[in-house]
This record gives sequence, structure tokens and C-alpha cells, in this order.
Amino acid sequence: MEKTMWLIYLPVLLPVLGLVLMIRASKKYILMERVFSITSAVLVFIINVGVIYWVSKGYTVSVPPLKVNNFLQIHFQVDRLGALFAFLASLMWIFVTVYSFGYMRGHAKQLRYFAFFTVCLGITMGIAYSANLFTLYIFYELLTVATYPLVVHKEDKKALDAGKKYLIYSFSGAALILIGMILVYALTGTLDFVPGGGTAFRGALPMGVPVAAYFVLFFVGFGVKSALVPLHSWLPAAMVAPTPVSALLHAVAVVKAGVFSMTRAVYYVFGPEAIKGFNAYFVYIVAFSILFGSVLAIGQTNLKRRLAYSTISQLGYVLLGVLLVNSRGYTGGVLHIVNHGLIKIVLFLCAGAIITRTGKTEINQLKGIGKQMPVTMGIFALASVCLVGIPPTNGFVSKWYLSLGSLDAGQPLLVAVLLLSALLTAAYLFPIVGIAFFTKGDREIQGVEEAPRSMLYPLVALAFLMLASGAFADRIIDFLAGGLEEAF
Amino acid sequence: METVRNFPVLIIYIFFIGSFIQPLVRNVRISLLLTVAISAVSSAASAAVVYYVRTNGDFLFDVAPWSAPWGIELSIGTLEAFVIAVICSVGTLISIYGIGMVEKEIPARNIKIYNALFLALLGSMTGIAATGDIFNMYVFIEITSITACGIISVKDDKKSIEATVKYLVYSSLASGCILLAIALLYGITGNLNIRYIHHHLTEVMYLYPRNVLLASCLIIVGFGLKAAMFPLHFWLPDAHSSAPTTSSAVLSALVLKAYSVGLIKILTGVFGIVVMSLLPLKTILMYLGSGAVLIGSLLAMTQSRIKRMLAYSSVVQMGYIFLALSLFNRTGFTGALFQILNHALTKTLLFLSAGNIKYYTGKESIEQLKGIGYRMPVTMAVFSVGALSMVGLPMTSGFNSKWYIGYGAIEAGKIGVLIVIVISSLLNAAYYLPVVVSAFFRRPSPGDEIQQPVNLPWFTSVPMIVMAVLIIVLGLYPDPVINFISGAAKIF
Amino acid sequence: MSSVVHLANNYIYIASFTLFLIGFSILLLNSNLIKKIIGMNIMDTSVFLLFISQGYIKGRKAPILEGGGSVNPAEYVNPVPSALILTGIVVAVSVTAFLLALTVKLYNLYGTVDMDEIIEIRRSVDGNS
Repeated sequence: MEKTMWLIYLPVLLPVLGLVLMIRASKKYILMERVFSITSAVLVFIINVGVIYWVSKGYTVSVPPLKVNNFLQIHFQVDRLGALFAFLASLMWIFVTVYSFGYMRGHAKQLRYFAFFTVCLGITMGIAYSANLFTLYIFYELLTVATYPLVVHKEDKKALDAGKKYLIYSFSGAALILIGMILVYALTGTLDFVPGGGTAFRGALPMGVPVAAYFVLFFVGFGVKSALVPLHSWLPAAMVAPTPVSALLHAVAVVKAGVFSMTRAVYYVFGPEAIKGFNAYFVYIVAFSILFGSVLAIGQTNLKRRLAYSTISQLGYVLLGVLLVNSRGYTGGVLHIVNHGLIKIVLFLCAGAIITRTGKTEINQLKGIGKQMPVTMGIFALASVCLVGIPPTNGFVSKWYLSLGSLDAGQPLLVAVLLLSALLTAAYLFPIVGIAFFTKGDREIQGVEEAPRSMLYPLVALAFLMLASGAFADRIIDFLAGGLEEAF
Repeated sequence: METVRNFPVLIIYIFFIGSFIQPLVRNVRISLLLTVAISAVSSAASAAVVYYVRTNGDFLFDVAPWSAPWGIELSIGTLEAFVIAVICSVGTLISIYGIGMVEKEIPARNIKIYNALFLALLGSMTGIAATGDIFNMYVFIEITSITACGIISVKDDKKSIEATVKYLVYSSLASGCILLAIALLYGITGNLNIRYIHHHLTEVMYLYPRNVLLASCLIIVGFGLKAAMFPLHFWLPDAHSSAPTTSSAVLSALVLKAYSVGLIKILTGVFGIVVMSLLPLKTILMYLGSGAVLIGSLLAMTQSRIKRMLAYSSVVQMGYIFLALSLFNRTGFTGALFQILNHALTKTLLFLSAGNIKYYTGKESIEQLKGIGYRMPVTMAVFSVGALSMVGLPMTSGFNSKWYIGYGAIEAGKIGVLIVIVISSLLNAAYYLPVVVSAFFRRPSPGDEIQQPVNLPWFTSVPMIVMAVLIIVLGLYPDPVINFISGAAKIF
Repeated sequence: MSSVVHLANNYIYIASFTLFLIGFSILLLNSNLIKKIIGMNIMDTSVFLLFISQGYIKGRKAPILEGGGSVNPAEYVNPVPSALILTGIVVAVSVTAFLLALTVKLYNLYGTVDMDEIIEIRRSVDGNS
């Protein structure tokens, strides 16, 4: 059932309006950037609540397409997958924005920071709401452009180099997607997302080109933003960004946009029928990514970089679920988008609190900090447990579904991979907790206070959400289930 | 409504009359305003012509009481109306910018001459587009060559004069080739009117195949050199980078286009699709176009000065046009025409911004542009829009050009062209984005900081902002333009 | 044998093309500016030669009406090419004039009319090309 709601243009456009007002108002009043950024985030979230309400009732919320030229249209249509992503993103955005108030205090160029921070929200909404490949591509490219100023915020050499790497990887990936897009259009005559994929891909293709060849373009193109190994190296490099940006990049916007787009490609462009024939190869590439990320994470001494490699590994879980092409795998994968998002954001915000209070970035410098920042580190420990996947946390639920999905697909080896990865996750997260609580701190650490309130409150709230997503996992699964039949 | 049929001729007339009046004008101010006024009037007239062609279709217009083939006639179709409109409107925008900036780069004693040459240039380019007679086209081509060289040398310094000599020498070579081709065609068909030659050529072609072959080769070489088709582009970087800003803009944005339109007119009008298919045109244009795109991009990356980089970028963008033409299908041709508009707007915008930067900060090299975004926010903002359009970011007109050419490539079964285009977008990013990044994200060198943002006078900023807005509007809503110009692709 | 006859019949084409190639190569290859201009003129003149010669029809008079001469077009040579070439000559003259003016300027600036020398001077003076 379709429901036309012109309101859904707002989450995309409001942040832009916020940006404009922010810039103009900053000339006269101070702190305007904060006012407008939090207002935009809250308004966007409220609208998304409305959207997800209607979607959960079974409607598809959409607006009529805007014709760009004879081939291309900009079209927004929110289905369950999109609504979930948008809801999650807008919710987390509010908290990270508030957290940014505290983190960015005293930093330079705040207007620029909050300006692009806010615009990225709108662009992410655009990605979530996209109804066809072209719209997705537009916002995907715009996301790269809009996140760049955030990555290079510090403007020192490391930041600029990281930014350059980020652009090169992202634009190259986008170029592949463009080629794929034109080919798909030439083949099927449409770029729309169709649940279950285009019929053209189910049969034989002209010139005997296997469907896999076309899919590879999307796999690699979206794989860049999904930090798929070996296209991942931009992500650890991007850790030079301010921590809220890293949290954003790792939990909400960029990487999740990558896996979200991959999901769209698999289920709504090519379709499970077509992918089933060759998904085994891709699944094993993803499995490699899972293990590779975890192994490298263990070797990292920088806290944020360790979390970055962790993300590379965890995104592999999502892609694994998506590429298994069965309902339990899909559930596990999409669920993990939510779960990992919450967990990783919590982990990063803790890291940010530590950096703000102590200035320390290396893990071995954090001895005994648990005593000084008990709430922060306590939450960190909690999040670590969730990520490893110990029942009854949210991490466990998604990994359970992923394992079931692997068995459904007749790939028991993948269950072993998942278990091994869980062990590795413990290996790179628990030592941090250990160092924090069970070793004696040095003098520097002993003078430190708990995180400032503007950072602590969002952190605690997100921690509650993280726990809630474990407790209420069945609600989310039911929500997704509604969209499952059409996808398969 | 029928009076609109007179407009193309009138446009040419008022450009030339304006040009001849210039030496009589009292002072520099009035001279510049006169240029703007005449260009603006021509733009309005060209808009009327576009509207007329859209509703009534192509038309022929006899300039003198003798009709073809004894008299000269203008043949105005979709392609011609479109190009004339582009020439007049972009010319107007450039001349508005010129009100502020011409005096800064050109010695005062030369400004009236500059304006005279500028108007004559616009008039002769309109003539190339409008005419239906090849000798008439030759005359206009020569006027274009001379005036185009004139607006470079008017700067009167060592670099520009030397560049002008080079440009004029090669241009004359090309003109000689074109004239020889015209002589050959006249020899076998006895006509100079495009339609008539085409008619006779189909009969005579098999009697004199060598003449036709030679004539077509000379045409391609001649126009190719003037339109900077790789590998005959080598004169361009010097010529376009040592010229005054407004001249660089006109040269890159309009002059190259006028010559390529002349090439299209002769190839499709005189030779027609039959002869074109017999020649290995598709292959030649495709390889030369790809060469232009790839090698031009590589050369652009090595440049340290903005204007030279922009000049090499023009070679790349013209390469797109030739690639699109090599596809021989409607979508590709539409893409080529849209690219004419897109590049005209974007390159003008980029050159005008570079001119601003040079004037207000004295900086020419990309390295020196660190942190300049805060000192010249408007200029760098529009430069960024132009740069993103060159890279082909969706929502800019550059993306639409690439889409149409890429899609046309798939339709023609030439996936290699699509890959070349996508690779070139990445290469474009490699030399355009560093400028934007430097401007906004790097700290200024010591001794450079400070400063209040520069306040640009309205006649400098308004044209640039208008063009930036147009780039985005055409990126989101190119439909009216596309629908109009796809009518020109009838022969495919 | 027939090819020689063929060539002999088309002597105008041969002369014209030869002159064109001579002029073209002078314009392109010679480094002296004055000679380049001369080359350009030779090239253009060769095309004019070709053009005008195509107007000639054997056995007819020049297209000038004398007193009460007949106006039968069949008695006269084709006047169109000559008229066109007048335009062409004007164009060639304009370009020549422009090029000569630029040459004078370059001579004043550099002291030589040889392009190679000028490029050398420029390269040594400001170290960029």
C-alpha cells in the first residue's frame, strides 16, 4: 500500500535549511551553529518516527518522482529497510550532536564542523529514502563530498592525507557504481528498486555476460564505503577526524550507507534469485574481511584505530548476512546494522571521552583509568560484551541469526568463522577493559575526572538503547519480517 | 512572428555595427557598456530564435534578394539556434564581468579595440553557426581567427604576443586546409551552398572519390586544429593561459565550440551520413577523443598554474565532444550538444574565478592558493561548483553530459568509451579537487593570513553566481534543453 | 602512359598542390617569421589559383560587358570564383597584416624574428615555457 507523504522531503531538506540559517545567524549571534544543528536533528527524528509508524502499519511512504531527464528520476520511497535505517540514523544523530557540543568546545572552525555535520544528516536521509539507483548514487556521492571537510577538520598533514585517501577510494568506488548503473539501465530499462530484483537478471543476459560480472561492479563500488577488505584502508586513516565524526563514520552514516546500498543492490536490483547462483564466492571474500579485520585489530595500539579495524570486521557480518540470501541471514545482517551501530557508537564516544579528559590515545597509556572514569569505562565494558555476542545482548541475537542463516545456506564453515571472530573480538576488546580496571594508574591518570556531562548523558542514553535493542530484538525482527516476503 | 526569421542576420549585423562603432566611443566605460548592451540585445534575439525554431521548425533565410544557390542563405535549425543562443548568452555574461575586470589586465589604450574585437568575434561565431554557405563560413572562420588572436595580443606583453603568433600561424595553416577543401568541393559540385553541394555530391561522389576523400580529410584536420582536437591541440595551453581573463573565457568556452559546430555542420550537411559512414570517422574520432581525454588529463595534472591547467582541461572537455560525435547515435549527439553548453558555462566560470584570484591576490599557482577560500569566499565557492561539475558530480550539468555520452556509448556497443569517460572523471578530480581543498582546508602560508574577505563588485560576482546557479539548475532539470537539442540529432 | 596524359591534363591541380605543399611546409617548418608569412601567402595563393582556374571554360571570354555586348551567359567564363577569390585575397591580406604587425612587435621586444631564438631567449630569461 502506498501512502504519499510530502513530509518526507523534509528530513532531506531541513538540514540544508538548518545549514543556511546557521551560517547567516552565526554572523550576529554566537552558538547559533549548535542551536540549528540540534534543532534539525530533533525535527528530522520526529518526522522519522512518523514515517516508521506508517511503514510498520504496512504502508510504503513515498512522493512522486522528479524527472531529471528522459532516463533518470529522483524518487523517494520509504520501505521497511529504508525506514529502519533512517530511524536509526536520525536517532543516533541527536545524541552525537549533543556529544559534539561537549567534545568540540574550544576547537577551531566550529561553524564549519556543525554545518557539514548537519548537512550529512540530510544526505543520509536521502540515501535511506532513495527509491532508485540514481537517487542513491546522487546522495552517495554527496555524502563523500560532505564528509570530507569533517575528516580533514584538523587541517594538519595527517588529516589532509587521510582526506585525500578517502576521496580517492570513495570516488573510485562511485565511478564503478556509475558504470554499473548505466549498464543496468541499458539492460533493464529502469533503475528503480524492485523488491526481489529485476526480472532481467533471472534469465540469461545478452552477449552471454554472466550476471556476476555486473554484480562485481556494485560489489566493489559499494564495498569501498562498506570497508570491505582490501578496499578498507581509508577507514583507519580517517580516524584522524574528531571522535564524533569517527563515531558517525563508523556507526551511522558512511559505512552503514555502504552496507545499506549493498543490501539494496542485492535484494532490490539484482534479486535473491539471481544472486543465489554465485553468492558463494562473495560470501567467502566477506568472511575473509571479517577475520582480517579482527586479527589486525588485535595488533593496534591506538584505541581509535583498533575500533576502526573492529568496524571493518563487523561490517563483514552485515554483508555476510545480506549475501547469504536467505531470510534468517538477511534478518541477522540487517539486525546487525542496528546493533553494531549502537555498540560502535558507544565505544567511540567512550574513546572520545577518554581523549578529551586525558589526551591519551594509546591503549597502554590507559592504565587504571577505570577508577577515574567508572561510568565511561563501565559502559565501554558493557559494549564490549555486546559486541562479542554473549547472550542475552543484542550482539548475540544478530550473530545467532547469522549462524542460522549460514546453516540454512549449507555453509557450516561460516559458523566457525563467526565463532572465531567472536573470540578475536574478545581478544581485542577485553584487554582494554582489563587495563582500565585492573591495573594501577600512573599519576597523570589519577588526576582525571569523569567525562563532562554533555558527553556523559548522551553516552548513557545510547548505552540504554544498546541494551534495549537486545531486549526488544524481537520487535525489530517482527518489523523486518514484514518486508521479508517481498524481498524474497 | 515571422520577423523572427530576420533575427539571426540582425544579430550578426548588430555585433559588427557595434564593433565598428567602438573606436568612435568617447571613453572606456561607455565602450564596455556598449559591449554589454549589444550582447544582451543579441541574447534576447537569440532566445526568440530558439523559441521560433522550437515551434516552427528549421528555416532558411536569404540574406540578399538573390536566393540560393546564387545568393547566400542562412540555414537555422535546432543545432544552429542552440549554439547561437549559447554564444550570445555566455558572451553577455562574460562582457558583464568585463565591466570590472577588463581595465585591470588590458592597457587602457587598447580597451576600445578589445571591445571591438570582442563584438566582432561574437558576431563571426554566430555567423559560422548560422550560415548555409561554405565560403561564407570560411570568411566567418577567418574573422573568428583574426579576432580571437586579437583578443589575446591586445594585452600587449611578451607572453601574449608570442602566444598569439603561434596561434595565428597554426590557425592559418588550418584555414589554408579548409580553403583547399572548399576549392575541391566547388570544383566537383559547382556550388557553395551546403544543401546544394550535398545534393550534387551524392551524384558526383563516385566519379571523384579522391577529391571527396581529400576534401573530408582537409576539413577534419583544419577544423580539428582550430577546435583543439588531439593531437592538434598543442597551441592551446599557451594561447589560452597567456590571454586576459575574459579572452581566455571566450576562447575556451565559445571559440572552440564555434569551430566544432562548423565541423558538425559541414560533416553532416555537406557530406551527409552516407559519406560519413564510408569514411573511418567513427574510429578516428573515437581514438582521438580518447587520446584527448586521457592524455589531456595527465598533462593537466602536471600543471602548476591554474590557467594552464584550465587550458588543458579544455582539451579534455573538447575530447568528450569528439567522443560523443564518434558514436553516431542520437543520444551521443545530444550529449555532445549538451556538453557544448555545459563546458561553455563551466569553463567560463572557472576562468573568471581564476582571473579574480589573480587580480585580488596576485596568485597564479595552485600551490599558493592555500586558505584562500576564506579571503574570497564567493569566488572559491563558485569555483568549487565548477570543479564539481567538471568531475561530474550528480546534480551538476557536467554529470548530465557524461550520462548522455556514456549511455550513448552503451547504445553504440562501445563500452570502452564509457570506461574512458568514467576514468576521466576520476582524473578530473585529481587536478580540480586539490585546488578546492587547498583553498578551504589548508592553512595559508605565513605572511598571507589575515584579511577581510574581499568584497567583489556586483558586475564581477553576478555573472559568476548566475553561471553557478545555471550549472546546478541544468544538473537537476536539463529536460527543456535536452528535449530541444535532441531534435537536432535527426540524421542519426 | 595514360597516367602521364592524365597528369598533363590536370596541370593546374598539380601546380596548385605543389605550391600548397611548399607554402604549407614553409609556414610550418621554417623558423623565421617573415618567411612563415611568405609561406602562408604562397599557400593561400595556391588555393586561389585552384579556385579561379576552375572557373575557366575553354573558348569563352572574360565576363566583362563591353558596350552593347551580349548578355548570354554561355559566352562568358564563370565569374563566381573570381568574385569569391577577391574576398579570399582580402582575408589573406588581413591575416598577413596582422602577422606582420605582431612580427614588428616581437622584433621590438626580442631583437630577432626567428622563432627558435625567441623561444630560447624566453626559456633562459624566465625559466618557464
